[in-house]
Amino acid sequence: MNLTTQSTTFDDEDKLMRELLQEAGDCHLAPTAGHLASVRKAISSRMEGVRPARPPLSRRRWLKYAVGVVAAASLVFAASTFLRAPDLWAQVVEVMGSQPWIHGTAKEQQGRSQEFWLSVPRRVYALRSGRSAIYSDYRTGVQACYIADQNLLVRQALIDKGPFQRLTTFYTTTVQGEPKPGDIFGKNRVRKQTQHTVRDGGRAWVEFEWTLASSPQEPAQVAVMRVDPETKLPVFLVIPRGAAEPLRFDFDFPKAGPTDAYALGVPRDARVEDRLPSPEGERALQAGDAGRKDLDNYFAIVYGTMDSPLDPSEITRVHLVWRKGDKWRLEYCKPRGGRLPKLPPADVDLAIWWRAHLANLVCVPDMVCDGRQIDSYQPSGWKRFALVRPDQDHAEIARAYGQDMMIEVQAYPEIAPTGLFTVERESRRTLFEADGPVALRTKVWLDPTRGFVAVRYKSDFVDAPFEVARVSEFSDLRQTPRGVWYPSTRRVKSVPKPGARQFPDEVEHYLIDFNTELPESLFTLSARQ
Amino acid sequence: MSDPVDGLKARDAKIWDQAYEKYATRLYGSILHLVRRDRQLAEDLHQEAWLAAIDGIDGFDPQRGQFSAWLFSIARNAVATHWRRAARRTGDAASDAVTCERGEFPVEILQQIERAEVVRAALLELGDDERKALLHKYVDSFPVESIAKQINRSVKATESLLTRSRDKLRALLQWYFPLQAGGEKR
Repeated sequence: MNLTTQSTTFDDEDKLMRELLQEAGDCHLAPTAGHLASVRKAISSRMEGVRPARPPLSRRRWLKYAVGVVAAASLVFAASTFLRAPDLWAQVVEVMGSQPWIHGTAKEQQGRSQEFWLSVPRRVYALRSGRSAIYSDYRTGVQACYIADQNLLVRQALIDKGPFQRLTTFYTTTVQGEPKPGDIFGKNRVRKQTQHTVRDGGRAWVEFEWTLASSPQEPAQVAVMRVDPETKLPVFLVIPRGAAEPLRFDFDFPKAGPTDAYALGVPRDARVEDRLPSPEGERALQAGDAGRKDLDNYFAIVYGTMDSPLDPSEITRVHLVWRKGDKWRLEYCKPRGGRLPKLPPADVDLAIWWRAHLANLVCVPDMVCDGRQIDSYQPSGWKRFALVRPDQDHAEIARAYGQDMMIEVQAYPEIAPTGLFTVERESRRTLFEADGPVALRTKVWLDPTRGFVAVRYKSDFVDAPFEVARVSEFSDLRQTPRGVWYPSTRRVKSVPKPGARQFPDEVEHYLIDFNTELPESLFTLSARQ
Repeated sequence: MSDPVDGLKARDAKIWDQAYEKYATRLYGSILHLVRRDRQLAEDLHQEAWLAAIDGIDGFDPQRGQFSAWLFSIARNAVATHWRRAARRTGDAASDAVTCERGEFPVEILQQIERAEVVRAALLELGDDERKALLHKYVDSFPVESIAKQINRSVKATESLLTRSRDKLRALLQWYFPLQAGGEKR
């Protein structure tokens, strides 16, 4: 793509300029009002020494973590569930599901092997890579993970039940919607899918091909699965791995498979560390699951302020949230002119006050989830943003897309089911302290007297420019009509790096109405236009 | 504080707000073209560019060019850095790009961006009148007199503007396309 020419005459340059400009055409691409406002706020914050608004990275970060635990083989397998199954594929799915065990083996360049075993009837997924091994029993919810360099076998609860469900949806064909090329699955997007017949070794085989790419910038890669058209069973699967050599798994279908981690080659003398939840931990986990599910059927006005040198009473953002089961709708509100209102007086009826003030705001759709897919509102109109996978529950989706607007994932954050709970006594209460997801370096404090609702949440940062941690304190606890506890205020405090300026606190208010009507039409793209 | 540069350097919120009002849309559009219209990425880099500008404003020297040129160069650097990182992640041939000078797009990466997108990004770096004048001349084929009317300038001033705009665009495109036809770096 060379632009310059060796010719330097004025006419030639004029001709080139004309060609380039005609080719370029319209160059105007407008940002969304939401983005402009968000950057404006970040600029203002930066100049005040205030923490900049969080850039919209969380969705991508979530996607990274969401797929992190799944072996590449599982992902590509899982991917298959999202593709419209042609007739042969449906037969392949059915025949594979009837196998006692599916066994795949791959050899890497350095001679290291990777193997996996999957048994749908037993609900077991096992993986051996080099000397490391993982044995996941989804029936008991226990995972045994062998860390070879420490000769340590860790027994822990299965944190993400998704991988197996993603694998098994492969058979149940409970596919929601009809994804097309361009849809997201895992960390990739399907660019193209094809099926064709090849001849090899004097006979015909059918090959399914999926062209995948994680973003428009990344080069597309192709995964290929060869199937025997007579037995309907796969012969091999080639998984692309960027610049590295693709990994080829060859399949066989044994009658018996590994019965535990030791059958994967874990030495009998490996030290065993039991991280299964204590009874109290188990209760906290269950309460969290229930809280996220039952904090439901609401309309929320979520508004934030900042204890900054600016005006601490000035509301800096307003969001509207509707939730009904796995359906939800997010909007953000901006002033018709001027600024957002200041905080309401303490003695005012907030519902009445907000009803009056919302009339002066323009509320713009942001995202809608109808339980099957998530659509994002762009200046050009609605655009499908992501599909809800059959194995994803509301909490997972809400964490990823609703971020801090959805109270249920704030009040009942995910905790690591490791059993490493400690009890912390404060002046007037006893709290549970639990590890959050390890990858996110979080710690959460739960109140066992109030349904294990979170009262504090701490995130440690490794590479943040100014902060070492951020602590959320939840207060003004209330109960829903069904008795589920939730906080109506969240104060976010920053812990600065030594020498860095202290960021002012951010305060989030949740005004929630559990008695509002939530017609199905709210969760459609045509609502409130 | 009458000089806007002083206001920018003093982190005067009002002056920065004016700068944002003036350049945000164009800066965003330019980035969006250079990241092949990945909106999410463009939004990240757009914010990153403004925050980097605030952090680095003390290093801005008005003797060396206009604020807008400096601001757009920060955005270009942000995009170029993104592409280099992406190249490193994929480990492809463009990983040589890591050794490229700061602020230049590695050739391998430019090959992944349509030429038209690069020209669109450069066009957005021009002032409104400069861009309008060039597009009227080269796309609409308007005579200079007509362009002068459109942008409310004299014919002489318009001719001068056209010359300046073309030089500026050419310089910008040379920044993006650092190779001569023979493959030698300028």
